[in-house]
This record gives sequence, structure tokens and C-alpha cells, in this order.
Amino acid sequence: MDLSNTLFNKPKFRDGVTWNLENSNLEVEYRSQGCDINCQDIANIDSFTKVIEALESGESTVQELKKEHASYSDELEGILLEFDRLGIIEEADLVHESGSMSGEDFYYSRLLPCIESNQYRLGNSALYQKMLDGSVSSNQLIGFALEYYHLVKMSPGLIGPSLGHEVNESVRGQLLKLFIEEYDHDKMMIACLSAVGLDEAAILKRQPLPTSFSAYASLGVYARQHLLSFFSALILFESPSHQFNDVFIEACKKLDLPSGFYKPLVKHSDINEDEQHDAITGNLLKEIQCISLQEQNTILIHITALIEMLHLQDQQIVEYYGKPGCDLLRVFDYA
Amino acid sequence: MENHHSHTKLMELILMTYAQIKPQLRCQLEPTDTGLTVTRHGSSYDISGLPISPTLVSKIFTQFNGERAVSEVIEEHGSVSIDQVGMIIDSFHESGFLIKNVAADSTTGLGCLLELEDLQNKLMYETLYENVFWTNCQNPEGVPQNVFYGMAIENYHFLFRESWFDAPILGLPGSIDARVLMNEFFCEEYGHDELILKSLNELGITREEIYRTVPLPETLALCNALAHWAATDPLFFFSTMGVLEGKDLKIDSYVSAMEGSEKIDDKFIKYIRDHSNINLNDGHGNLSREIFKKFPIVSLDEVARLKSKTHLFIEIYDRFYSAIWNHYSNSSTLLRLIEH
Repeated sequence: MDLSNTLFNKPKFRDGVTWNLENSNLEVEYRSQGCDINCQDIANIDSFTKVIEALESGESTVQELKKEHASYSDELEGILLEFDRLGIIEEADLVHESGSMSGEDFYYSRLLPCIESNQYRLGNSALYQKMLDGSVSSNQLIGFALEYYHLVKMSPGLIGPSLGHEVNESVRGQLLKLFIEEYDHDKMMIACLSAVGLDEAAILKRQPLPTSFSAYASLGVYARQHLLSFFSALILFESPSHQFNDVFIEACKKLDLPSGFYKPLVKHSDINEDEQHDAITGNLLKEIQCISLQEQNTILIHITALIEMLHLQDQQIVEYYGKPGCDLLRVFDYA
Repeated sequence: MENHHSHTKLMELILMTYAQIKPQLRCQLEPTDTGLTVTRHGSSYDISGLPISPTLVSKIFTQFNGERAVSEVIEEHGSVSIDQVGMIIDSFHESGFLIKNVAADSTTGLGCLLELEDLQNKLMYETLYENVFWTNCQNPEGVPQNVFYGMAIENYHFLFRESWFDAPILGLPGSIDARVLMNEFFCEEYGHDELILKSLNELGITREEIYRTVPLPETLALCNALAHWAATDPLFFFSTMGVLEGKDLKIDSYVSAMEGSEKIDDKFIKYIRDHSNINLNDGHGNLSREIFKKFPIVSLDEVARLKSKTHLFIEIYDRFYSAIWNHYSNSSTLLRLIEH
């Protein structure tokens, strides 16, 4: 592994370091970490005093010091290593990179525009379009609910890992609230689905569509492995749309689906709105003081791919459940 | 009076909120007859109903480059009030046309680590280096043989579990460069437990036996603490690596103590010395530093949080060594085999 030993650009004694150079003996003190250095090998003690003074001010780079004191530049490097080993020097010239911003700035100036432009690029949801033009089938609406059931069922497991991260009290409170609110909604979804004749035992055994699973699993992976991506992804799952709900209800009524199927579903979506779930991404990101440019980009990569996956999910729901005689249950039973 | 008072308070609040921030415009502005055209990433938006003239908004806001405070910019435009500009800042901010750029007090990753190292050193000099294990190693001839062997056993347990506590960090998304370094390091570390096992083989301890052996609870505690931090607090995990890999060491005091004790066969020491030399020569002690260099910014609140946790880490690390002394100096058997 190529690990450099040259950490310091401008080395500087830590505050509290004292030194005394007398009779070719340098005594450096810092808590219990001091040392004595015999400088007999260094011919010019006056010049060495300058080195020590430079370390006190932190104004010279290592290169400058070695150049100015070329006759003992090797010893100098050894002495600096020893000082570092004892933990008595720090860096006087920390280079700050640009492009970092607060979580709130990131939310408004990068995340929301990124979501908007991607959603615009991908266009309307195929399912929504079919509901609007009246070409949607019962199976497609039921299929939508079945896939939604998996999200609700997986929710505690997806959100849970986020609770283990080191966060402040406000973030912890918001995540706990989210976890508690999403708990047990799968029971309600099972009731919806049994209203259209689907059996609970079969639902429990079914497999989601690959696109649904991929989108939901991504959310859970971000909760476990990259909290900022998780915060940013929540808005994609927690934004209810009255427009969508109204069109969904109309489509269900038109196809004579029972109210026991669609009412609780829409109610769950309204819960999200009442609880202001859609504000959660902004509220969580507001708690983050700074995000580096590279990490911002990582988040946007995750979010762009997730928006695309959710779009593919929508397409797959339309395609899969639109096929005549499609297997609604997707139970692959080997027992 | 009351009204005037609360008005003053409100003004103070507005001043506090806006005067000192150094916003940065992230769009182009073009005044029109009725308002402004805002262009960002090729998309244009028309804005009307501004509280001040569009030309003035454009003049003021194009000066927001992230370097100049709001108060400084509007001073140059006498007639404008800060609350009017503040309203526009808020609305631009929420549309993503401008970042408020409220910088938390921060340092660089390296600056953060150097502060943590300073505290680690202080705590280690006060506790760990003064603990029963390391003080006794100063007089190696008085150290019971089993303590030296026990140290190797517990070290084996620790190295054997390196994948256990490194794994959560290997996918770190926060910094690509840090992730690459960490993966390289992991590859180099892989198999180091086998070196220690060779030493243990010299004592007649077999792989089968060590697989049935319970580490001291303090050893497993150290492994699990690291695994927890790797999964939940990556920056803190990285800060522990300098200590664990012996950043401040030029020789391995455990190896020198065994050599000085004159009661340990060199066949046993050999592999442990080999392992120790790999760490010293490969500069693994510098890994924390190289990794922290890859983090461009750490807020000071975060630094304070990491510092407070450092106490816990050093306590756990201190207990790891003390437990080795306390157990193996009083035990005639070396292995704690599971019974059933």
C-alpha cells in the first residue's frame, strides 16, 4: 500500500509545547509526551534554533525547511517524524475544498431540481395515463395495490437500520416517528386485497415484481449504508398526490371494484399527507451541517437511479398485470 | 411602545438571519418589463410581483457570489431594506436559485483527525500506557509466560475477526477515495491471523482448538465496538485505526518484552515479529490519516462528538490489554474451550 509519511505541509507545534535548546540538547515538553534530542550531529545550532522557531510559528513548509537547512535535511526529516510520533505537531495549513454545502442548501438547490428534472425527463406514469384515458384494467389496479403492499410490509425492515446510525436528537425523533407510523399498515393492505378476493395466506407467500423489490430494497440499503441517500430518497416514497388518488378512485369505481379495496388505500396515502411525510426529506436534511461535493454527487446518483427504477416499476405493473390471464399472486411454492 | 418593541425585535431577528450570511446565486437573472427571467440548467422561469425593482434585484443578487455578506452588498444600494431582500433570498433559496451558504464552523478531515489524535495520545498516556499490562511489560522478566501467550491468543481472536468489523465500512459511500484506500488495506490485512496461528501452533495449539475457544469478553467487546462504529459512525471508526495499527509506535513493545524476558522461544516470537514488522514497515499506522485527508469537511460539532466518543474507545482498548494481564497471569490453562 502506498501510504506516505509526509503528512504535513506546514508543521506547527501544538499549543502548549515548550522547548529549550541548550548545549546541543533540545528538550521538548508537552504533557507526558516530551523528548530530549541530542543535536551534536547538527553543526550549526543557530540554524537549528531557527527550525524550532519555525515549528513554533508554523509558517514554513517542510520543503522550505529542508531547503534552508540542506546540510542536515535528512536529520530534519527524522526529527519531524519523531515529533509526529510523539503527537506534538499539527498542520498549520489546512486546505479547504470548495463545493461543500449545508443539507438545507443541498435539498433546495440540488436535490429538488434533480428530482424535478428527472421526473420531467421520464414523463407521466404509464399507469396514471391509463387511468386517465380509461384503458386501465382491474388487474392493473389490483396489481398496483399488491406491489404497494410489499412496500408497506417491508417498511419497518427498510426504515429500521436507519435508527442505528449516529444522529442528533431531532433526526432520531423523526426517524422513530416514521418507523412507528409505518408499523402495522400491512394488515390494512391485506384487508384491502381480501376485498377483491385475494387470500391472506397467499399474499404472505407472494413475490413482488423485480422492479418493486429493487426500488424498495434500495431504500433499505440506503437506510443501512448511506443515511443521506436514505433521507433524500424518502421524498420519492412519501409524497402523496391528491390528483393520483382521485383518478385512482374514479378508475376503481368505473371498474366496479369494491370500496373496501380502494378506500383504505387512499386513506393510507392521506395519512402520509396529514403527517406531512412529504416534508420529511427537507426536515431531515436541514439537520445536516455540511455535505461534501463528492457526497452530494453520490446522493444524486442514487436518487436518479431510484427515480428511474420507480418509473420502470410503474411500467412493469402496467405490462405484467395488463397481460391476459396474468398470475396475480406470484406465489412460487415448493413446499 | 409594545408594538415598537416587538418590531425592533423582529428587525433584530431579520438582521441576524440575513445580514451576515454570504449567499451564492446559482442561476442567471435577466430583468424584463414585468419582473425577472431566471435561467438555471437551461430552464427558464418568469418571476413577477417582486417587492423591489427587478433591475435592482438583478444588480444586488448577481453580487451574491458566496464571498460577500448580504449587509455588505445592500449597503451599496441605500434605498433597499434588508427584510425586502431577505424575502427574496428565502424565495430564491426554496426554488434552488440560490444557496444561503450558512457555513457551519468546520475544519478539514485532516484537521479533525489531528485533534482526535491529540486527545487519543493524552488519554493513552494517562491510562493505557499506565495499565497493568504495559507497565509490567517494562520489566519483561517478571511477566508470566502465559501472559505473553495469552496476548497472542487474544490478538489472534482480534485479527481473525477483522472481516467482521471491517466489512461494514468497505462499501462506504461518503468518500470514494477513502473507500478505495480502505479496501486496499483490507486486502493487505487479510490472512494476518494465520501468522499468529503459526506461533500458536508452536505451543501445540491447533486450528481446531482455537476455533472452539472463547475470546476474553473484553476482546470480543473490542471487535464488536468496532463493528458497531463501522456500521453506524464511519468517521469514528476510521479515527480508531491509527491507534489500533500503532501509528505512534516505532517498535512493538510486546515483541521487545518477549525478547527481553528470555523465557519465550524465538520460534514462537518469530511469526508475531513478522506480523508486527509488516504493520510498521507498510505504514499502516498512517492509514487513518490518509483516509481522513479524503474527507474535505467536518463540522466542529462533529469533531466535538467524535472527541467525546474517543474516551469510550480508549477505555475499551485499555480494558482489552488489562483483561489479558488479569486473566492470563492467573490462569494455568491457555485456552477457554467451549464445553459442549
